[in-house]
Amino acid sequence: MPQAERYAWMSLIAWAAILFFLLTRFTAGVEVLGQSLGLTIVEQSAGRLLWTYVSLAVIAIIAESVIAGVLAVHAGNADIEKDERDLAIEARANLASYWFTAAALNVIVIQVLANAAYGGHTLPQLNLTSLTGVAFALLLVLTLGEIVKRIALIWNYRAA
Amino acid sequence: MSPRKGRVRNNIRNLRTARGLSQGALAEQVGATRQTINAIEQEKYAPSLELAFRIAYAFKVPFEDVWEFED
Repeated sequence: MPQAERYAWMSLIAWAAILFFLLTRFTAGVEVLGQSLGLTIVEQSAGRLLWTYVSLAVIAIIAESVIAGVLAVHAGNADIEKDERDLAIEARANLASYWFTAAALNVIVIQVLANAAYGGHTLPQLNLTSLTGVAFALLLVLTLGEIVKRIALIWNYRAA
Repeated sequence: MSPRKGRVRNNIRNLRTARGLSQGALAEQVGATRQTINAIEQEKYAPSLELAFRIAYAFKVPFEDVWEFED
């Protein structure tokens, strides 16, 4: 398994853990590993939201740094870590992540505008009228975008 | 109308085994990873022109002895 694919697997696990952390900070419902996880968004103060955002950023930086460090130690004196195929696969994964993020943000915008214009229906909708709802939606899209990138990396390594 | 997608075929496995080279050794010579050489041999990945020339140069054979384009 190439270094870059190994990185993608380790990073995917880290981002799945970050997603779990995000969901436990914002939602309530069933108990999973001692944390509350569900589909109901719990309203929070701006200070706590900011703390959650900073925590997520710090956890992501630490996780990526640790993974890079572990892989660098493991690689030892390996001559070539990345070549043109790795870069091509990374570009494809970045593109997949970009399209996912763009599509998700468009869904959010359409949802908000459609609800404002044609509200009163019983279809499921995002609650973006509160600060917590907006922060959760954006952080969720960013986190899922990173996960999509890692899945696309692994997929492309397996396919090409 | 865009042209039909062709396929880049190669003779790397035969040339490599004839010289007793491993994929890793060839990869080192041409500045790629072993996985990339494997993907090229299996024709899952079409390399850049530069890497294609490097591979032909490593075998010391003309370009067309390594690479073939199938329309």
